[in-house]
Amino acid sequence: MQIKVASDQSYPLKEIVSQDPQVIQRLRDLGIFEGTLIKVINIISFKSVYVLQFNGSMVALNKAEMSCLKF
Amino acid sequence: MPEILNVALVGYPNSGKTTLYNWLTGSKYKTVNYPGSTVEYSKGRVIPNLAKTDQVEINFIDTPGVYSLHPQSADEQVTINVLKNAKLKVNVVLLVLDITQISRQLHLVKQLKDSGMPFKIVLTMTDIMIKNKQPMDLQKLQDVLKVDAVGFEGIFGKGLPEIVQIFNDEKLAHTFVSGANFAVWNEPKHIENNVWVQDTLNQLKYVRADEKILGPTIAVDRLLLHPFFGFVFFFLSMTILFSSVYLLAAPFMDWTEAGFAITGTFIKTQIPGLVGDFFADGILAAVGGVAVFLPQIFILFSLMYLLESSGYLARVAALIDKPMSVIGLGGRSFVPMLSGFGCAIPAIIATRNISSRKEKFLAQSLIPLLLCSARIPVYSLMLAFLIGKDNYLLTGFYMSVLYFLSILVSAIVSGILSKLIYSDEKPKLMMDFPLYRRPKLKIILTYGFDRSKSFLKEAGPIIFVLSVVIWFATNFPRHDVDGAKITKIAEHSYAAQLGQAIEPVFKPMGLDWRAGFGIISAFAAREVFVSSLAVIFNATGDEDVQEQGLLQKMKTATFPDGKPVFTLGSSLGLIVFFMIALQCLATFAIIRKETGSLTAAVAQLSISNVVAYALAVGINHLFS
Repeated sequence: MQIKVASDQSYPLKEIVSQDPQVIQRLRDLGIFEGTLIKVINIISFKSVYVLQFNGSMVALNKAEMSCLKF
Repeated sequence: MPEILNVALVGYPNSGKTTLYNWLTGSKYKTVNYPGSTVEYSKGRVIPNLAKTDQVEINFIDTPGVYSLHPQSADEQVTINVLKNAKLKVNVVLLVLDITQISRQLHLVKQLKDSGMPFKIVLTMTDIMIKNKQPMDLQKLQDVLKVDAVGFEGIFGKGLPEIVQIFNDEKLAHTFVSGANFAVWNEPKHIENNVWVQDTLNQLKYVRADEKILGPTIAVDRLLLHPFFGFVFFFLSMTILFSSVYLLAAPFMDWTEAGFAITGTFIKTQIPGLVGDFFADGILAAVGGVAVFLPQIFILFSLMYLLESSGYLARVAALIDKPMSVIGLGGRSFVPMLSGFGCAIPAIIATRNISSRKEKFLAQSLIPLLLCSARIPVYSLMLAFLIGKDNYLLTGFYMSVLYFLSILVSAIVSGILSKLIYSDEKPKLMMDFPLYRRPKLKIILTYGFDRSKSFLKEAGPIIFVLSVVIWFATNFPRHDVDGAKITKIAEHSYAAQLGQAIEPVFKPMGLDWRAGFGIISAFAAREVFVSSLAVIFNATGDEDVQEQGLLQKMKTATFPDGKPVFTLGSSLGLIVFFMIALQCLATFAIIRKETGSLTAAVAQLSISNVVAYALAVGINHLFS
């Protein structure tokens, strides 16, 4: 899966897409909704974990979870 | 009879529930700075000086953090079960909201309102908002939400009387939250809730100060999460942690050992005869055998708490997510695993925070292989025997090697198991990063002291009982050897009779009945091995070595044919045996409970012990 985001860039979220309702629920629980401006702070762990900043929070997502976020 | 009011503390992970609970009840539960540290509920009565009335007795229940009232992992389910539990009779929820994260935690308010549960709100981390000149208008919050709300500051416990005050309402004591509406999660409802959250924030005129609050944390993360230096810092911090356990503790261990030796000699001169021997060689030798390792336990737990309270561990979990995936695990397994270096029991319970069943099972299987604090006394003794007790640097180095070996062994086991167990479930990360907080030296030292005390308290009774049993078993019967040397008594003792029966099992490991006896007693608790050896060798050593330390007695220990017992092969084999064997029965019980399978627990017990025995035998023969 290819995720086209870069560190220190902000992206408004368009959509969350996943076959797993638990992943969608947890992303919502973490405060991720359509229109949220998400800043990619860092891409770590051999470019497989994305550290995001939004709404005053910092959250780390793995590649599979990050691929659910459509910008 | 006062009315009883049960208040459940509910909130996001890392929102400060346990800190508040400790202040309210006077408890000393560990509060750390990463999400998912509480995995079981605790109940405690409010401390007397906060209780304002005799009419209502307030109990607080601390629960694991939840992101919503729709649980996804076993720890979140614990919280929901607390609210539903008819026996616990929760009357009211105290919703703990981290004020710095209110924009996303506010949806719990909506869920609680929808559920029909009575609740009050406490806002934590208020000190951070005040520091950033952003105090929350509590009155406005109460007016908008139409719920009682109180502020709380965790460092000095400000706001406790106000929190208790809102519960001095006898009417609450007659309402139970059971019967609340726990609807199944659905996305449209969640999105609708978010609209309510945004609307509420607008009414509150809430303006975030992300840069002010997050700025320092992001700056530190630039270094600690650097693609290269991030790993360098991680390995450096782990190496310092594990090698410090030996290096920093060495002088304190020497002083403790000397203190016990002087006391033993004093007891023997003051109370001559069998009674003096019993106290000096039985009780004191056993307790001293383990107490000497207390400095190591103190340093291990203090340094681990330093990492936990800083907020660094959540970063490490994310940093090593990819490398962990090679062995079928995710970054979320890291924190329970690190906790396993302290003790396997809380570490296995902490795996409740892992939502993937396969990953949870793998973590539960490999945690008992990590070098827990109970193995430290055994390894320290064996390393001191092999290398020499004064060679601190080399011993510290080999102790670090043993730590990394235990990680390697558990990685191999996890890798094999992950290939054998099929699952299309992928490990989830979705990890909140808390703000970095400056660890408080006093709290770190207090925690290290408390853990050392509880280590002694937990091991103490077992050590005491076994020491008494072993001392009697090695000193009796005396009737047919009356007046004989102590070695003669020991040779005909109950322990010797039993030992001779079991010796064939341990002989292939290169060990005699005394070491075998130590291994068997270590099934009660690993650290008992050292105290058992101390008691047995005190009773069975030659008279001229009676006054020498355990190490010297081990060096002079021989089989009846004169061959030494503790050779390089048998000692290395013993180390490997303790590295692999699942000896701790409490760990076995917790694996049984957390996996929900007796078969899985028995299989782990059998396989690890058979493999440990086979490797120990193999190593003994290889080095012979």
